[in-house]
Amino acid sequence: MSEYSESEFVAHLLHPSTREKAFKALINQYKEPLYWHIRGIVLIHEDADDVLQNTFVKVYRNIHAFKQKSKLYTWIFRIATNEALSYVQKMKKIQGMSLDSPLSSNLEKRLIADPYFNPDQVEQTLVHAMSQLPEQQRNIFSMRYLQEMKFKEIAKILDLSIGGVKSSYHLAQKKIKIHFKDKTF
Amino acid sequence: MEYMKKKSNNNKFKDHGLNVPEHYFESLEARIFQQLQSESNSEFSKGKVKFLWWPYIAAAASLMLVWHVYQLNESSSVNVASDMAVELIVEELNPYTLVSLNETELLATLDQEDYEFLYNEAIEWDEWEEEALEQAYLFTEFQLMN
Repeated sequence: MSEYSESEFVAHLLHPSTREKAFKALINQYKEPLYWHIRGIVLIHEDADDVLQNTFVKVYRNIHAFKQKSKLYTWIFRIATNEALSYVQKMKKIQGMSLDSPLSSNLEKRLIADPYFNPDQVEQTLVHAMSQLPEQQRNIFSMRYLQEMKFKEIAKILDLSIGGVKSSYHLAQKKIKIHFKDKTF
Repeated sequence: MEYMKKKSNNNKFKDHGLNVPEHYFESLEARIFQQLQSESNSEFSKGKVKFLWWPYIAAAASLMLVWHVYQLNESSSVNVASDMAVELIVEELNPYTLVSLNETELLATLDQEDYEFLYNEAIEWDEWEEEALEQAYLFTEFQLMN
């Protein structure tokens, strides 16, 4: 992928004869960072796997709609973010929860049951604290703290102002500190 | 590709107890192509099912036409019998086939359940035909603003 410019690569993704090969290269390039990005929002491995596959399918089906006004990775990360947030909303709907409430109690149970989550003491883990946050704050916290993205990058992907992202991160951080203060002694 | 060039932060996730199954990433590509394939097949089948209704729709329209001519030729003394016959024909027809009839005939035969069924079907087809990517963006934007 790196041997081409981004617009050349997009052209390969659009051309029927090179589409599959280019898409394989795209999967290879993005699978890990996208997986962790999604996992930071949904937290459960099984959910992250579903969302990741749907994200790639959506990218494949909608690459013609990518107008190159942003970087390809920004566009792909935006799709992944939307997919993950929609997934969380769908889960809430299925569980009959208010769309404004954090997933906390149910997510907590599923997190404990997730074989790919290894907590030493569940209540004292960062992931547990993150599960108590509203999803947009959890997303911003994960992007900044776990994925170490710059505020500028986060703002671009989420199409928000840098100030808005910073204040969300600050709020999330504050809630996490309170969580640890309450749970540890 | 600024983000992609950065050192992988996966260890940070792992440090906090989030793991992935072994060989998960190696098998991902095959599963994505499998999903793409199965979605294409399913879309094709849906299209095929939709197409298969046309003979029934044509048959229903012909039946109604024949019945209309028949009704014109019959005297009013057989009204009770013909009403029953219409009822039987309508009962025999699948709600799908009625879609091809004129609006008055269709609405006269639909109950609330039929209406909801047809409406949901129409919505589902729209969703299949148009990827709601833009809507998803707007929805997320709304979520993030609140």
